[in-house]
Amino acid sequence: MKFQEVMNFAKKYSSVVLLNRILPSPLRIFVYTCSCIIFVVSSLFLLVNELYARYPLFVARYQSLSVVFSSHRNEVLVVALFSFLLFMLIYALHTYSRYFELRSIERVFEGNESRFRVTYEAALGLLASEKVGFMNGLLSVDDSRFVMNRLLVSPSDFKEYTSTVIVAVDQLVPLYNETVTVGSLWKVLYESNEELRKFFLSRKVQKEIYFDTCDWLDRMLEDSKRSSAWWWRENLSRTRGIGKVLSYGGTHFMSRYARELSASSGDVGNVVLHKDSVNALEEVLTKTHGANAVIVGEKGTGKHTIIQVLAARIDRGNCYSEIEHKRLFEFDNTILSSLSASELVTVLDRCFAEACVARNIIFVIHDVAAVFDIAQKQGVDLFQILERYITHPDVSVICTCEQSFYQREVHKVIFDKDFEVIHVESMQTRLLVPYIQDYAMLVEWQTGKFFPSHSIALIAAALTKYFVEDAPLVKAGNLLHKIAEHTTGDSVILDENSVSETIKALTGVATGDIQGDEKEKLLTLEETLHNNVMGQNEALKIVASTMRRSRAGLTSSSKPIGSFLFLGPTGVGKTETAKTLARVFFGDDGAMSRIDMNEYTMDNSSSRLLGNDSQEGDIAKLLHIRPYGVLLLDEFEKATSDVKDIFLRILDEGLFTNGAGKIISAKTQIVIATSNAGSTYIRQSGLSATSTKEEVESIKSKLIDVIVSEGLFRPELINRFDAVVVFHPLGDDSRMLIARKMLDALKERVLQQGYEVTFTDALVKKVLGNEGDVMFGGRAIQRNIQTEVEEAIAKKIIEGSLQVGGTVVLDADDIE
Amino acid sequence: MFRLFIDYTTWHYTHAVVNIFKLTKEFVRFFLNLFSMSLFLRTLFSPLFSIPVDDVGRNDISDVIAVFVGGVILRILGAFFRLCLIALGLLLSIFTITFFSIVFVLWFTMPAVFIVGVYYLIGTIFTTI
Repeated sequence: MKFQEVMNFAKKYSSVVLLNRILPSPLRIFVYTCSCIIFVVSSLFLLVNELYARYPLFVARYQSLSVVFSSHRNEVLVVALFSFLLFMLIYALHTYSRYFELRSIERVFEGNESRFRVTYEAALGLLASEKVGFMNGLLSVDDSRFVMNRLLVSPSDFKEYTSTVIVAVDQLVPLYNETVTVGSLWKVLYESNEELRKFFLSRKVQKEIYFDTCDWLDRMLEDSKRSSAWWWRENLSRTRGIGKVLSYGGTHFMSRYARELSASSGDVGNVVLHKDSVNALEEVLTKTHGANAVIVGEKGTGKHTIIQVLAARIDRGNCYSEIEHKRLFEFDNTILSSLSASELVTVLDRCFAEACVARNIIFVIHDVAAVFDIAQKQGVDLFQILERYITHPDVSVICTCEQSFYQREVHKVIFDKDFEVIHVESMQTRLLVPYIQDYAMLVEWQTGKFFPSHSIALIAAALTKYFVEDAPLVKAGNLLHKIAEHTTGDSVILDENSVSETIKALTGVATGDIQGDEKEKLLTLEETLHNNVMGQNEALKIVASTMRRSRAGLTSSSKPIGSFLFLGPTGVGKTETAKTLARVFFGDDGAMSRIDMNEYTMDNSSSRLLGNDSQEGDIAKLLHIRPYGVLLLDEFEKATSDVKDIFLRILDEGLFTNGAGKIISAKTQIVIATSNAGSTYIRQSGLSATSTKEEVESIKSKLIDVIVSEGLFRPELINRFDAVVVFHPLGDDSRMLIARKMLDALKERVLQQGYEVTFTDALVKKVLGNEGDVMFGGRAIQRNIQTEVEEAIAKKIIEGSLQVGGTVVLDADDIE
Repeated sequence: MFRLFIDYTTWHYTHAVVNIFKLTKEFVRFFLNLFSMSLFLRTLFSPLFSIPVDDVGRNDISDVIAVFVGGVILRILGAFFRLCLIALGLLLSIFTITFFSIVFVLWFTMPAVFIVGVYYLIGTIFTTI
């Protein structure tokens, strides 16, 4: 639509805008209250005066008052009349103003589709913009402060900016919204003005954050208006009809084992998540027979929320008439698990029997797999019990379960025949944002803290990436509370730093702005890696720059934190690099999970890695133990091609589906695959520490061709790694450095026992071993130190030639 | 200011009047829903609180009679309660319609009442002085 049309529409509000300017809401309420009180008091005066005039006995008792009243009758009459007229005037004007304030959203509710609508607040801004320009016009609307505050933009900065850039209405891009709101006008302004975009970007406000904040404002205004209009059908119909109690049976027994779900039983906010799934569920329940549903989705996809939203709809009367009288009862799994076999059968039988009599009950079995297990442990077949009742026309059952359980039990007749299946997709970041925004306001109210929009965006991203276990809505609430609790001191604003600090404290993963120690750590990553891994300058540079790009948010957020394929001969520092990354990014070497891929060379290896219905797979086990860290896939080339294919999805989406059909996330891992594939070629190529970058790239390219042609890796697998890093064979200098470093570590260990040992250069050279040891790199040196040097020291200690507090110099001759 | 006066007056006799009718409709609907009129009419002769009376033993003629009599009593009781509530609901609906009819008349005459009131107020002030 053209902007001028919107302006013309907004002019319909001009009288109300004028009225509200002359008589602002606080003044109106004040006058309204005063006139009401004065009218009541003066009317009482007049009434008493009338009593004096008519009843002499009354006059006799209150003679003195009578004189006062009768002498001021006319004045009181004037006051009473004046206050009545004032009350009437203000009431009429207030009704007039409220009508227009609610008009635009009321139309949405009533379903009278007009071409477009303009909200009162938007009209305020538009009308003001005629005089002061579009941007200043919008800024003059009080509610715009909400946007500014959430985006942490100070009004003074903005005003300074707006004095230079005033957008005329005809410069604005066309509007696409059906309802023109303040938020939509701020969006139009953003789209129309390059300068404004730069202004916000300079304050770290990306387009998504900006638009989400505008939507937040609109939603908040609409919600507050809707809830204030108590006389609207949607609010009046929230009262449950008393007929439902009289016409349907009682629920005395089931109330002991199940809780009733209603609009107030779960905080689902005003955000409708999985709207399609809720609609599908509602439709299933309107069926006359077989109105049962099973909601299938992974943990944390909001399955229970779907049921809660439906319960709220039924409670508010905002549902199909076929189910408006229904009541939802959710079995308490804790109580059920405490029952014996016979009790469990009796309880379930009696609950269902009561529901058959009551004729308006929908049972909810949340996490049916858990109830199934509880029953199975007692030797009770849950589905046999269910089967007896689910065909009853007056009883419905809603179950929720994960994909794995669904797959396991889907072939059971009960699910195939009598249950409609509703699949729930995983929760996306975009869906979570409105929920987090609404919940944040609740936490703000409780704690007095403030969540800017930047923090909300960071929380939403972190929830889908780093907190993969719990239900998203539950974890969103928990995380918001934890952030508010974690941030102590005077800071009221819970900015990105507060959020990332809390996330780091909970997960060990750094998010948000790169600052302080982390900035230093990332900038000096090569140096840190060099201190631990000798002579692999080019390889370490690639690793460091890839990690920096990942942390700076330049790589896909749906992938693991980082993924590398380390190629090179044995003992050149591949594993050491992985350990160092674990230490740098997750705090210690222990944050590394290692899978020896040479154990997955059999035909059934992929099922061992992924697990099955009864047993968790190896990879899931490791991720369970260490959800945040480095996942090292040692000797990756040795795994079967089926096993390697599993990693195609992990490297691409950060996810995999285990043998039980459950989706597991590996997004919080740095995945490193090491391989000796092509080692012969690397040696023959002459790759060394002195090779130039171009030479390294050329050799890497040929090396990849070699390993692909040998069938060790498919090209699509290699392409999915963030970087393929080639480690060259170690030169003598590097080996000397490694030997010296390992001996220093040994010296330190011995010193802690109370002995001082010094190693001569000749000994260092000797531990390098012979020419045959060169191809084993650092491992050969390690072996030589263990077998020769440690042995020599041990002998000296046992012989007594080296005593506590003593010193010894070990030379090449001292070892064999 | 004159525009405000014109706009207000137009609204007073158009949108506002329509809104009073809408409001009447919503409140009548609210009472009909609160007293579950349609549900009560559909289930007028159902047993009270859906108390089951049909599943007791039917070994001899006395059991059958007991079930029959029990059922009839519960259904009569159910119908009585329901009819009472239907009557109450209808009464409140009629009250609502009456109330909003008065509101409608008051609303319609409000500007005239206001003008007369101002006239009378001025008259009273001058009389007092």
